[in-house]
Amino acid sequence: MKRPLKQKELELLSAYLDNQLIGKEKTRVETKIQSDKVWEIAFDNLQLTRKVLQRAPQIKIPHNFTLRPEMIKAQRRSFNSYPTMRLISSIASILFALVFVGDFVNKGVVPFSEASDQVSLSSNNFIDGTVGEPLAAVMADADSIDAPQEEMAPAPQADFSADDSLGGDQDQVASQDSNEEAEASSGAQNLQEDESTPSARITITAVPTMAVKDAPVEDTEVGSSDNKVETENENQKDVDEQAEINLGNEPEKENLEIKEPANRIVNLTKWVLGIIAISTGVQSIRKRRI
Amino acid sequence: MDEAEMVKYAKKGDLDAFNRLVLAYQDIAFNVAYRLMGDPAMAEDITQDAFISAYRKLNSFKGGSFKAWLMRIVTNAGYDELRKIKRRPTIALEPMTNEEEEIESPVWLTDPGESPEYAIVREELNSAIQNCLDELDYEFKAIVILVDVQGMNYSEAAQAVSKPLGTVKSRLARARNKMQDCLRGFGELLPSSFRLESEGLK
Repeated sequence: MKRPLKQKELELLSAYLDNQLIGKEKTRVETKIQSDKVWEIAFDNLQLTRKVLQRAPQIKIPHNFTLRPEMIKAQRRSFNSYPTMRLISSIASILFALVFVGDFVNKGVVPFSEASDQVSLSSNNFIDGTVGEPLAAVMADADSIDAPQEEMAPAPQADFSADDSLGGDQDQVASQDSNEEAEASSGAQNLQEDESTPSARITITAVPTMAVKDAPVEDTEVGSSDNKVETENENQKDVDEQAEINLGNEPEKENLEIKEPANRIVNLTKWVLGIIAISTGVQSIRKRRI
Repeated sequence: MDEAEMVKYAKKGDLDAFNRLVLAYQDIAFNVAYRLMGDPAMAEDITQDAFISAYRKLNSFKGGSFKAWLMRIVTNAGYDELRKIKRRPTIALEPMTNEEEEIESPVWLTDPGESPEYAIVREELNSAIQNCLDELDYEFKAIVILVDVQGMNYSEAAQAVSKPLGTVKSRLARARNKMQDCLRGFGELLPSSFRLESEGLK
């Protein structure tokens, strides 16, 4: 049994048949064909195969393929679609990337929906009395929400500081107030810390004055005018606390309800842009190819 | 007017100039498409689409062999169709009568001037070649068609299939080897002029 030629040898033989070899390679193949029977037969067979293929009948064309102007008109329309598709694809890709990155960055800092969830959770905890360590440093931030509430009547807790000041001077009252502020670390402060988040502030501004109206007024008359100022400040904080307690979760739920569709729109936009980018990109590639 | 001038005018939108190019190359374009597809109706569509596409993309032709550039369009269109066929049920290569019987000598193969005997020989050879071509992978098939059946040189074939010269050489050698093996099976069916020579294939 004669050994068949290797692929490389067949390639050399094929190239030699088409006069594609020069120099040493050509001489080497010629020598092989003359001296090696396997090479000789392989060359004859290859030559015959090529001859058969060259004799393949040419098929008559069924009609002329000359173009008519109406054929070109139809094509010109689709020709112009390529740059348009490319432009749409590019814009959609950029927008998709921006939305995607923007969404990713937002989630990295404070997730949109999670922020609302955290606020409602902390409010619930406060109501349940299960609030953990307060963030006292954020306490001052609560002052910023006092402005709309300054016209309100003093809250019931106002009598707490006023009663303390009955037996002492103004300094005592002030110092006691400050101590109380420091001590009141578990309840009201927690609430006000939570108020530092934007969604919590929205909740505070929506505080109904019902709780304030319910507060007893007679105790605010006790003490001097300076004490009144102090107690008013105290009262403002207490009003905030009370208002937050009375509010419960309803406004936050409303916020969530508002934000959920917004999130859905963002997600939908992402998908739409992604699909447009991919589909137009594929169309562009197909159009580009001859 | 030579080919370069016709291309130049065609680029400017002269449809008559382009149609002269069509007339010059429509036979080879149709035959390449037919050998690739093995079906005259599909070859007809591919050829027409290829010429329309060529007119549209004429500005992307930057010189060189117009024939090779045109064959590139034809082979690409053929590749696309062959890929589609792979995803669809196979279609009979032989035409059917109304009674769903195969027509052994299709009308497009008959030549009014040739003798019946020669027509039979021609048909047998054609059938054997097409059957063997259809067994090849389409990228190998395209190179055999362009180089051996249509007589294009390696450089033109490389341009037509968008592959390097080395790839063309390698694929051509493999394709010829496979064609040789396949044609052995048609030894008895090959025309008498090849019969004695075909002994060498055994």
